[in-house]
Amino acid sequence: MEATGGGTEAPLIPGYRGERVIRLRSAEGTVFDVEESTAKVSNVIRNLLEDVADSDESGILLQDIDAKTLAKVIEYCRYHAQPNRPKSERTFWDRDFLRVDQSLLFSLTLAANFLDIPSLLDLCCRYIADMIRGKTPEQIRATFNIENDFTPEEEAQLRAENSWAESDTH
Amino acid sequence: MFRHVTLDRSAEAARVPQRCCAERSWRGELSYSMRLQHQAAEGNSNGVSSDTPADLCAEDEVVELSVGPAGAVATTSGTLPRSLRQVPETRLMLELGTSSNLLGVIGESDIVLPVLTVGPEGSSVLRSVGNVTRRRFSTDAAARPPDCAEPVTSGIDYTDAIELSSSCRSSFDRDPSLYSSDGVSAVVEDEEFAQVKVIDTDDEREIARKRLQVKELQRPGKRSWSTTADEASIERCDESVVVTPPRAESNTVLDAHVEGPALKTPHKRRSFGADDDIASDNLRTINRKQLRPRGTGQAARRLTIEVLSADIMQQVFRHLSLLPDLSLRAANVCRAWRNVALDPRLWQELDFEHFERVNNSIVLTYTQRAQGQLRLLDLSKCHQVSNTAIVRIARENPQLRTIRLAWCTSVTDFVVTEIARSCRDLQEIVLACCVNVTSIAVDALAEHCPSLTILNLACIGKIEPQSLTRLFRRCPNLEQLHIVNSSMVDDRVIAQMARRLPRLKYLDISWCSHVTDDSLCRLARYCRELEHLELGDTKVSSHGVRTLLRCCKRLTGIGLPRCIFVDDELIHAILAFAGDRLESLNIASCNRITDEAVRVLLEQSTALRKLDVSKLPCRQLGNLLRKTNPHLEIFY
Repeated sequence: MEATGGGTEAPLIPGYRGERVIRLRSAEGTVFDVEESTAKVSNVIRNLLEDVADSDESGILLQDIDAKTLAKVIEYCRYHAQPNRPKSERTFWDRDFLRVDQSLLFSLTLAANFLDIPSLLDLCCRYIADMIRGKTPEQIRATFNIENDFTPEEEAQLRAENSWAESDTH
Repeated sequence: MFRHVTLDRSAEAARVPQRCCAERSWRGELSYSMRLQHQAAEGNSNGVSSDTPADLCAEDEVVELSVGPAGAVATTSGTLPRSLRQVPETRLMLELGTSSNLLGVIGESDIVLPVLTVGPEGSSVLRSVGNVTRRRFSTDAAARPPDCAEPVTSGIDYTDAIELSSSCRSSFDRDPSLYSSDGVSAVVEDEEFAQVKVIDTDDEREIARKRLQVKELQRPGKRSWSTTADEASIERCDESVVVTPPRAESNTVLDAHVEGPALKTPHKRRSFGADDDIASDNLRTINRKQLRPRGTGQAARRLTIEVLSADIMQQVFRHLSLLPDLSLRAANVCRAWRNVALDPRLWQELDFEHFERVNNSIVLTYTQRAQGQLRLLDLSKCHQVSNTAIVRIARENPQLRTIRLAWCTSVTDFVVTEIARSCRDLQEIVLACCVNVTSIAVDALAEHCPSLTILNLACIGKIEPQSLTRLFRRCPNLEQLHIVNSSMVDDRVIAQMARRLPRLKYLDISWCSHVTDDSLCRLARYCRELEHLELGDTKVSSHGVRTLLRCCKRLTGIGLPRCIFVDDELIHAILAFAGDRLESLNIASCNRITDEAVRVLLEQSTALRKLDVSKLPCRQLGNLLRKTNPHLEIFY
């Protein structure tokens, strides 16, 4: 797994601390060359790299992830691949990291799920949960642009079901 | 002044433009072309730094930018797209494989590129290009293609020409025909381009044309082809690629890194606009009905929360409190959410503690959502829930681990017996203040629930010592035990307890007025795991506590309110044995403890976080307490 070993030499990019470089391709075919340690934050890629000793020029194609999302995922992985960061700093960074529009947040969530990055998935889920918490169903619908597809009868039934808690949950 | 600069992968080259920028020697020219290229054969590991293009483009006079693999580095750091935004009219040429990285980023940004030249890359690049133009059409209202009905006329100002040019560098061991012809078909598939210009060798052009024709035949109704050459466009293209040779002074600065135009773009000079006889074949103005970006494609790019699968939504919902956020709010948003929210796995822990208005039907509805998998049920102070309902829930959910019924004053022995019989895995049961619960319930728990670890029998009805003895024998895992205000608990019971329950960590025997120092000696001898002990209103003295503190090395909290036999000796014992670990101390109404002792305690104990000295006789405590550290919480 040496960077300089054998005939199929992995691409070396300056400033990458001489690590092996893993080539990732997004859905559009966009190429991202990332350090091995960064790529291995994803369990899927780690397993893949363990199974396949030498990654070829074409790299790993991640068909379900677009370039923008992948760039963001790599940003996350690169930060978290570095050990010895204080926990408070990480927490702060994480919070800042997810200040993105909803579309990207959701595609990030999907990517984290697909690439099996539990910490990122959990981060996204927590973030979405924070967006839901404390809101009424109407406010939630407005936040996420969700259509209310209950029939009036169903809604009346739901309201009746929840009537007991109305004064407790304002 | 240079018009054309090539930066290869040497540190030298990377530094030079920066220097140039600094010296402003580039200024004054109307147009430059910059070329970041990669010479793989040399294997030079140094490269164009990612800052370079930013530095160059900051000069906002670069009109032509060719990006080799260095673009990959540059775009990863995000500087290249940023710099492109500063130079909106840049003519961008992407020549090598890794440059698709850049394209993807451009596709997502709002950069408008008038002309884009793509090197011998596969269809993947062109798919990215598709994104670029789709984006362009959708963001730039002026560039919007005509409506389906209108034909594209030659005069219309579309300059998103895609030049598919084969790189002439043979050192890149690739089959150009493969890449380019694939590329053309990808373009056609994408149906987003106003013009496609194929500039290449004859063979390749032939292949590309064939592909186009095949596509055309396959879908005859979908588009119409125009083979009219767009002369204006060609002129524009030709103008913008004019490259003049570098002047003499440039050679002195850039040395070998500056290439002449002949080296750079031999193939581009073969623009087919010059060959009139074949221009009509090679330059295809593709007049299509589908020039407008597909609405669905645009919608798909804006993701909504609906894209998240049920599994992920369930993970989201796990972070919500079951009551009220999930059950009363998220579950009522829409059908999809409701289906996810009603998954039994989300309903395993039902805590009604702060919802005292719940009644039988609500509790039964909610518990049934767990489909027999309920693990935790907290009905503390839920007076409207009947015994029948509780028994039914216990029978339906044999996997219950925790049940809390504090202040459910109607709960009887029968209820507890039924719970014990149904839920063999019970680990925690809280029956505090269930005044109708007696020894019978304790017997049932002892008989059926050997894994109990937390048992709260505070202030329940009458308990027989034999029942407690049996309990200690049958439930050796007990770690937390509350037996408050029981006149039947005396030193003999505690002795049994100490011997049978070596894992005890938390013990509350407040108000058990028959407990004396003997009990503490037994606990000190057997229960070395003790962490917290509540001994309010018992007959223990400083001597017993001293023994305890000496032996139980994990004791961090002790409550001794109203223990009239406790005196200053206690403080000395604490400082002697537990000054560095005791975190919580309650000596309210221990009248024999003097000011002086409290002062010494405050001065010398390091770990103390919580101190209750309420109703102590000393009146000067106010001054004394004010001087203490801010982390200490004092009740007085």
